[in-house]
Amino acid sequence: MPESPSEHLKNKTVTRRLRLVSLLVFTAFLVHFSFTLVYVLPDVGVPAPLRHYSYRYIRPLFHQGWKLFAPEVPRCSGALYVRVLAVPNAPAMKLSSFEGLPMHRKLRYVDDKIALYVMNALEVDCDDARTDTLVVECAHRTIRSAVHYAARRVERHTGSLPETVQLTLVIDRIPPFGGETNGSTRVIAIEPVTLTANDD
Amino acid sequence: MMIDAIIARWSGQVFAPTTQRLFMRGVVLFVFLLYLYLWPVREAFWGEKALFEPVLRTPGAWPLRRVLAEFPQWALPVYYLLLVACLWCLTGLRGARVARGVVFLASVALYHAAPPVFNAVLMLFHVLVFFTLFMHPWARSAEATLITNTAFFACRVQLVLVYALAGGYKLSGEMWLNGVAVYHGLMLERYDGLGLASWFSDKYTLLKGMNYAALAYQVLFPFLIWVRRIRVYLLLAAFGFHGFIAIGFDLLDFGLGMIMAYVVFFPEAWSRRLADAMKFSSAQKRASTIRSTE
Repeated sequence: MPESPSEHLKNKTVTRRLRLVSLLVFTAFLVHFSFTLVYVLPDVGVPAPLRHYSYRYIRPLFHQGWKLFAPEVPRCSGALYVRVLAVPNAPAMKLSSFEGLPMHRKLRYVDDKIALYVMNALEVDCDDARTDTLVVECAHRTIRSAVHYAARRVERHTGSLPETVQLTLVIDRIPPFGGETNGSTRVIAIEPVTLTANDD
Repeated sequence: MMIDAIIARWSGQVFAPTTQRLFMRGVVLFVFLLYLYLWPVREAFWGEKALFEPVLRTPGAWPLRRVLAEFPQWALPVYYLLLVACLWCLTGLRGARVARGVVFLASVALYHAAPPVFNAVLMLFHVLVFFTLFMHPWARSAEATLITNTAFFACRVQLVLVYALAGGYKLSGEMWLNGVAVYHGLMLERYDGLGLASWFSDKYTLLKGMNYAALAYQVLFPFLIWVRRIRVYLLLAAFGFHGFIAIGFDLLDFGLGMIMAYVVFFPEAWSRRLADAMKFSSAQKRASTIRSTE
């Protein structure tokens, strides 16, 4: 029978076995949080191998990041529009306007997040006050994923997976805090992307 | 020896057993509710024609990261398995520890199959569920007690780490120090699900006040939460702070999750009262057993 907590406290006995367990437990504790810190603070000067191992340990199981609205809050927000090129004169439709899926707040959240990923991949400068339409070509993996997502949304809406789609990012600049000036809108059109067999 | 004294204290008695018990159930309850909330769109996220590209076929990536990309037909069964495992834990049946392990692994795999669906709160709960695997509030042996207390402490450290990092990052920018960050956050369309932005847009003094209050809360939390007399007020403030994030920024899961995670800092007396109110009979009985041995 293991001794009860009270007996253990009364005796204040720390066996060799308990010391060994303590050593293992506290070491595991320190290693876990050290790896976590190295992972979430990649800019801190730690040796590359340590960074590598912390990534291999934390990324699959304990991935985390705490940079929501930090260090700065974005000064602009983006919305993603999709145009199916096979349909002549088809208008670009906002991602969230597609039907075919249950109305769910999480879908809107995901639509906005995909738009945010695209903004980051295109390195959108929120301070850029130009309002002309910019056409860019981008082979970033994030764009491919966004195209896949948009094509699947179209498929749910129309019933068939489109071959070629064009994404357009509409960026709204937020008016400055307490300022007199209004916000402005900028459009970035991404060159059309044809889906490969792997996307099907 | 001082080290022996520390070991004796940490292995002598389970810290705040009712709080631990409540926390362990609360963590699983939140994961269950989060995934249950996604039930209407589960097929879109993890079904046969899921919206997300299986791009995780990275050589060398851990199997958990790529398993549902390699075998997408398993994603929905894993989703159902997760819900069943959560219910298993919540009903208090035997084998809850194994079920918690299933919850952890299934949730991590589902996250990697559909990362844009989730925000940081699920990541936090992955860590917390993992630590609860080592918590056994009714431990009798010194070794098990030591492991339980360390895991419980690790949950607290993880929560403190969240605020230390979030507060530290915010201090390194200009917007938060200038008092304009909350304004910009509210004006972002994706965080304005309830349309509060137009009402707030010209309340400059209020927005500045909220900005500095939020900044102060996050920066001070890692230090003040360890002071018992202040902890109660900090926990009450947390309800306001995260309640506003949940409603004002349309991040219901994030706000509720953080509030749920605060249970780890509940004083034992609060937890006992809560357990009484919830007729948490087994917890109470076992907690009183431990108290009687003190």
